[in-house]
Amino acid sequence: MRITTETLTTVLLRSINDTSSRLADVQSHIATSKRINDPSDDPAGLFQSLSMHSQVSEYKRGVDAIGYARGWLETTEQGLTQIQEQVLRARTLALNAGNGTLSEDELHAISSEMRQLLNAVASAGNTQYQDQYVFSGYATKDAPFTTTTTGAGATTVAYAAQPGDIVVSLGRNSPFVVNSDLQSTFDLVINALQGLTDDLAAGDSSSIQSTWLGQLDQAIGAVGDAQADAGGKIRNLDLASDYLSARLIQEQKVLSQTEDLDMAAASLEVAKAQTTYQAVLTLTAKALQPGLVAYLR
Amino acid sequence: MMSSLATVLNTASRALAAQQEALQVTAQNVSGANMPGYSRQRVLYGQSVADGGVVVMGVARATNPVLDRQLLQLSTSSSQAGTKQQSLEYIQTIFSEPSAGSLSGLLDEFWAGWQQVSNTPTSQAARVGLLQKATALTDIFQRVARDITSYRTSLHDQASQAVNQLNDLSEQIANINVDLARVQKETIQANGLRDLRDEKLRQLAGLAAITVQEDPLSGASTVLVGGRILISGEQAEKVSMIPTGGTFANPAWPDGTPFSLGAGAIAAYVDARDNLTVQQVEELDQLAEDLATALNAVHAGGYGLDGSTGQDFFLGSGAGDLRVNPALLSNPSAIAAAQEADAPGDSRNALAIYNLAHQAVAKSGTLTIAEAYQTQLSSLGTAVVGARDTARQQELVQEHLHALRQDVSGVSLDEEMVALVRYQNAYSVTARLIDSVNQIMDYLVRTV
Repeated sequence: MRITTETLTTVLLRSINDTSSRLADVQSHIATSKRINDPSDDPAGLFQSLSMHSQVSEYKRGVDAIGYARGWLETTEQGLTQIQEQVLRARTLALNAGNGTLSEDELHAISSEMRQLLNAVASAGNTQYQDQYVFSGYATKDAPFTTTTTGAGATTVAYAAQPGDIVVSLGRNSPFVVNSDLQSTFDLVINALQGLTDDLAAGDSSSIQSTWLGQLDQAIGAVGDAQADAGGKIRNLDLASDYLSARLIQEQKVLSQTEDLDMAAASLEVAKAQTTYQAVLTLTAKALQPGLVAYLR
Repeated sequence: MMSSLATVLNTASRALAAQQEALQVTAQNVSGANMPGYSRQRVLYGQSVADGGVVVMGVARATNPVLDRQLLQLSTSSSQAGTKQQSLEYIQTIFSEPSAGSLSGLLDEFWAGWQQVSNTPTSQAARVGLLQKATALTDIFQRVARDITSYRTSLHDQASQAVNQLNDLSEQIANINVDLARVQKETIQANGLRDLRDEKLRQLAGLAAITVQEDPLSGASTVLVGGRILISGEQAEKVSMIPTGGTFANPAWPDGTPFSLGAGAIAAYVDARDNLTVQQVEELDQLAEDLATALNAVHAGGYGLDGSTGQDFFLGSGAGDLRVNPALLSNPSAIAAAQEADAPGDSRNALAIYNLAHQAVAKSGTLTIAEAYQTQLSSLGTAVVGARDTARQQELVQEHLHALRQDVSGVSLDEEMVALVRYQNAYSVTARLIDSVNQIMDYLVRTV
């Protein structure tokens, strides 16, 4: 086969172009440190990589959401603890008042204190987390415990919440309800304390043994249950948090394997490409020397 | 005696002329060594019937017509494959995936915005944040759709330019046909014109698939496209762009018949303009529509903090005009996070919308929005890889054929150098011969 000048130069040019474009390609991947810069670099791999990115950010958001839910539940727990303190104190007072040995004035004094305990319950029950009333159900902008002053310095306290689940989403198909329906629990508390306040204000300690102590015990039990419920939810959140953190690390690892460039291998590629490139250039220089004409003198 | 010597002189002078002609051809070859499409030329010798001396019959090109025809075909397919590759790669860069701020990232952020609102439904900050993310998402839908659409215009312009180039080449080839008819066959000038015409035919073949026939008498080429005559002798038909009834125009013959778009660069531009780009826009439109439809259905059934209900979240009918409802932009409290009225803590609707991210609402209910988009990207990536491979393969075949052509028609400077030395020696020996004959005649004249 005849090798003409043009054949030779075409082959040399092709070699130069091929090696320099290989060099440019590897360098562009090193610059981004990613294996996939375009869909055409790895169409199937891109699909996986995008899904995994989605998943990783979902896990991260899940961790944040758990933090938020935990905050809500801790606020709930603290509120319930304070309410329980008032109810326990009320029981002590009621026990004392119910033994039938106190004077009318002493009963009046206890009634006042009972009223203060009730107000304290209302105040604790109106606790908020990030500007939302935690015991209000859906009516998070409205205080659940309302205190109305009826004539002659008396007050009544009422509790009303808009029924509904406050749901915090921890991730795909992971809704977490942070509140519970405490209407009956708080009704027990309010009825007992209100009833005691009114009776003692009228100097009547007869129903304490028969009715009010029993109701107070029921209230204490109910609030205790609510506290246990909140505590249990917090423990669940902690478990979920551990699980999510582990999943997050795992997913990030797999994502890195799919998406990130093996820098060591890439550096070798660059070295190889550069060496080849230089070899081609040297060859080109030698091959393009003048031909026969230089020797015919 | 004298007549024999005269015959020798005659032969010698013919020989000198022949060597000179050969030297001229060698010079021609050397000058054309680096010209694209140059075919090496050689002298055709014959014997004179009168005195048996050498006569130059003509100067012939060394070509292989079969190879030339193959190169024409390859020019068409290679140019088409190259254009397709470029178009697909450009479309790929419009999407610019994967990168920060690309559609896939912003879609993710958008769903995150809904999760935030579902966790803190009364937080104005969360609602405003969601609206910002929604706007970023609609912006990028619009941008990608817009960029692909304006690329269609660019492709159309390139097709028009290619048609202009086709017309120019047709005219030039017709002119060469005229010139060839006037020049004597098998001369350096004729060969030069043929080389030029072959080169122009190859360029023309890159634009559209052609068949070439040569008239043996006049040497003129007839060029057909899709069975119809484009160039015949000195006549070249003009192809123009005629509106198709849509936004764009297609190439057509003077009488309005559509120009055959089987292969070549023009066909590739039109295909990219009408198919490759449109397919991507249609899929994007479908994606936007699926997202808006699914989301609006849930949103309209919910309640905002201000009690508003029945409002769409997204407006528009496709990727190009997808936008967030301005009523929500000006009043974030109207975002329907709740499923009952007057329940600020109720975020079930926002939660339902957030869960749409993992529901199969796209592609006729078979894929999630993200999966549908990722599938579109993967297909595009695969198409780019395919186009690249085809173009590369065409390039390699073209190179191989080109090398074969060089084998037949290429100039080797070393070869010409050897030829030069040969002709130079022959010339000097002939001159010496004439000198000898001259001396003999001289002697004879003096003796007689």
